[in-house]
Amino acid sequence: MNLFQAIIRAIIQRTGAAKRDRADASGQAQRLPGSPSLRHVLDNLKNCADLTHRRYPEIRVDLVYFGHQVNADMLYRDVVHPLLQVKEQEVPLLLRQSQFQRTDDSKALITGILSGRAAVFHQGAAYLVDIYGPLTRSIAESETETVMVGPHDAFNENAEDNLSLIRKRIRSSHLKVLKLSVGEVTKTDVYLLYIEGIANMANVRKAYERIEAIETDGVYDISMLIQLIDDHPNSIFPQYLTTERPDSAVSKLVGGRVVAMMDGSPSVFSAPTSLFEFFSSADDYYQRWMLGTATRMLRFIAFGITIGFTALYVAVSTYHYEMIPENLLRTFVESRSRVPFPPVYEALLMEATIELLREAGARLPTKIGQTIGIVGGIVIGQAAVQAGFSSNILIIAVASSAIASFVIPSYVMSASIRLIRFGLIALAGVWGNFGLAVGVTIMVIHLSGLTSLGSSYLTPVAPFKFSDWVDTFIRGPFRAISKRPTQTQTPNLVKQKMKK
Amino acid sequence: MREKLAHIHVVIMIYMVEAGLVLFRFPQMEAEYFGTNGWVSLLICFAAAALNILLLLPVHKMAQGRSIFDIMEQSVPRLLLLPFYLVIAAVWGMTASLASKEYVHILKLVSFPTVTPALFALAIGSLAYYLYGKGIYNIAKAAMIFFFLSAWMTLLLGYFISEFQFARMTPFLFQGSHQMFVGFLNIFPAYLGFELVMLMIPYADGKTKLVRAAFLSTFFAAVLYLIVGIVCFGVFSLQQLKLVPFPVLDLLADIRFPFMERIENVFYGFFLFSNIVTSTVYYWAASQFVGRISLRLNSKLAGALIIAVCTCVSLIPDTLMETEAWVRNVGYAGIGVAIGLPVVVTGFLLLQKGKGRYGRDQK
Repeated sequence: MNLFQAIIRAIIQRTGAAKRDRADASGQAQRLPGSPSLRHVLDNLKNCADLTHRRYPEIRVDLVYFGHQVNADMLYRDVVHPLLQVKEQEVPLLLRQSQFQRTDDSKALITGILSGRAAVFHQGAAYLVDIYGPLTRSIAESETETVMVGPHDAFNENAEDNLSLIRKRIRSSHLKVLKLSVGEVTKTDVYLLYIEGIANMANVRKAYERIEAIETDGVYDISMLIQLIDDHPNSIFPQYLTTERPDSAVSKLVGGRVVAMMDGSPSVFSAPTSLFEFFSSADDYYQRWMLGTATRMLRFIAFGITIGFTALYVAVSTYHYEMIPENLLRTFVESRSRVPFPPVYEALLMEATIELLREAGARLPTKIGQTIGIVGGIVIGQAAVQAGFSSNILIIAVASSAIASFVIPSYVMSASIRLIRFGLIALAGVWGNFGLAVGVTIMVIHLSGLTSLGSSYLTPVAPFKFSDWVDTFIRGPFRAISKRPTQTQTPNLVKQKMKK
Repeated sequence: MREKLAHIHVVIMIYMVEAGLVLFRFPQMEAEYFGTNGWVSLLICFAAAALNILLLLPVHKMAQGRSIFDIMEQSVPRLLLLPFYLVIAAVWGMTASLASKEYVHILKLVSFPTVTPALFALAIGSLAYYLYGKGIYNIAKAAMIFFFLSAWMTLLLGYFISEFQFARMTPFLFQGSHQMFVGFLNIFPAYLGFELVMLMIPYADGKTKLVRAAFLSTFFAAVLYLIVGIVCFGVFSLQQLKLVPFPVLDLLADIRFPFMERIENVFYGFFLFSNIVTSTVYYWAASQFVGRISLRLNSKLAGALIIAVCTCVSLIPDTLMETEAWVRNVGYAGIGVAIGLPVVVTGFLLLQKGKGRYGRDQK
């Protein structure tokens, strides 16, 4: 029996070898033992009309790539032109050049082609050439993080461009970039950046492991990615700071934070972060420190106004009329006398209207959006007062709250805060000032339990790190900001030149 | 590795526990029991509190990171300690719930005369449970934030500089005083809270310096009380102070801005912050004992149980006066615990130390 099996196996092997020989003789590049075959690749990528397959029969070379994923100049310079210059016997020599990377794994080969590389097949061997260069948006100014003073370039959707913007600013060998792939179907490239010797490696490891552990079919933006690696996914507060500005990203890296960018997203995120970091802007550092400090403090006041102004109006006009001074009381009562609803309904109605206007303004093209904002705001506000739907004072409160919310530099944080406002208004409508205090208490308790990449979200207040206050609540003079944020747990706390 | 409590967190947390509602009441008590310049009694109470804190020192030194439960149960079977645990859990649990109940009664007085206090008490109980569920480290963090949200209100006392008259202070000390010891017993609980650090030993390390933290927080509370006391005695006459039940609230009511007045309505709301910290930390302490009574109870369940039971019991006193009477009685029991517990634990530690030495001598 064993002898019979051995004979059959030998016949099959010989037949296979004979077939391979015939295929090679006919000029068809076929698979050597352990190598991926052209047929296998073409089978996998069949019905992909955008796939380009070029054959060079005289040198027995096949070239496979996606035309829109590669840079045409690089394709000609690095692949086509050299191939056209050689004879068949010189091809193996050419393929020894460093740009041709031999690949023995068919999965890696297909992923490489999908990632914008060209696959070269010759005598059963496969090689990948990195000529990635899809069409991308050029580097432009950020629309969500505009500054008066300072650099105006912003990230775009191409991770290579974004890496270049970072490398241009950090010319240090300590800047390290780790590459990961996210999404079962999309296989999106994610780059994790950190500065060796400044970033805490535990943070790098944590971020790497969390991104690596993502199990989903596709990730389409960095804002989606951070929700998949949040410490507390059910919290309303963002736990990673996102930015479109390379200078901001660089400052985070130099401060000891970990930064991650994703192909296809114009934003990067930095971690760990704290609640207070969302109130700082790149602008603060480009102005005189006193101006920067004043602006930053204004933002914290704006936070208070956004959260509490309308709620305070509701509390006072529902339960605490005695708080209004006599000379204001007449105006107040006159204004309220025509409104048939309790203040809480009135406030919720107007706040909802403002949110509708904001959302409509954001969705429409810029020019129409502005018109909607102005006309809608004025017309609805005026009409609501005249129709007795709302009091003048409430319109002022609602408008002030809305304007104040836009002072907060982070759009994500601003949106979160606006939503919290509704809860506070409802509580103020039920329990007046006590309700307001209850709302703030719930918020503080919730915040106290939050963490970003494992470190407290309320740093530097809790844990109390007074040395960090000089670059948190104020923007101190640069000589006073002598240390990196303690939240990053950097091994290199004092800002100094790295000797290398 | 479990996070350890930082020194400053303990200082602020205990300060927030101490500087609670008593702030509104004690100037009246000082005037009533100690007469002229009654604020000086605060110094006497502080000295007593400082001595009491000294009792914590041997516990902290000799415990070497062990919890007081481990220390006690090493010498006495747990079964015999259960009644003792139950009493302390009841005293601290009721201290927490009655602090909330008193806050609710005063809130009713200030803003909501027609609302049933039970609803507010339940709301505060729920908030306390929410904070309790975050664990002691996060409670300390929340206390930090609450401290910064409420500490600035002390600056409002500067508003009364123009109304302050030294003539009201008089050169006489404690004229018109009566039952000073009762007064002392009523004012001393204003400093209670420091004794809770005994339960924090397993959550602390060498850097936390628990006893120093307890002393500092009590010292800061004393400074606050002194400022409030002196301002009250300088703004109100002695007779006024004796009659006004909550002089600090009346002071706040006097502050007027061009766009707002009667701001005690808002500021009293802010006192919820310190009240929540007081209640939660006491509930946490009580739950430690409850968890020790029944080892099957997990931390969250123990907390829920103590908060639910104590909140329900606190609903029994109907009026503010009744609640104050309960607060006074629980305060006396609290003094007993603050003095008795460290003494008992120190006794056990000395006993264990003695036995250890005895054992070595035998060898």
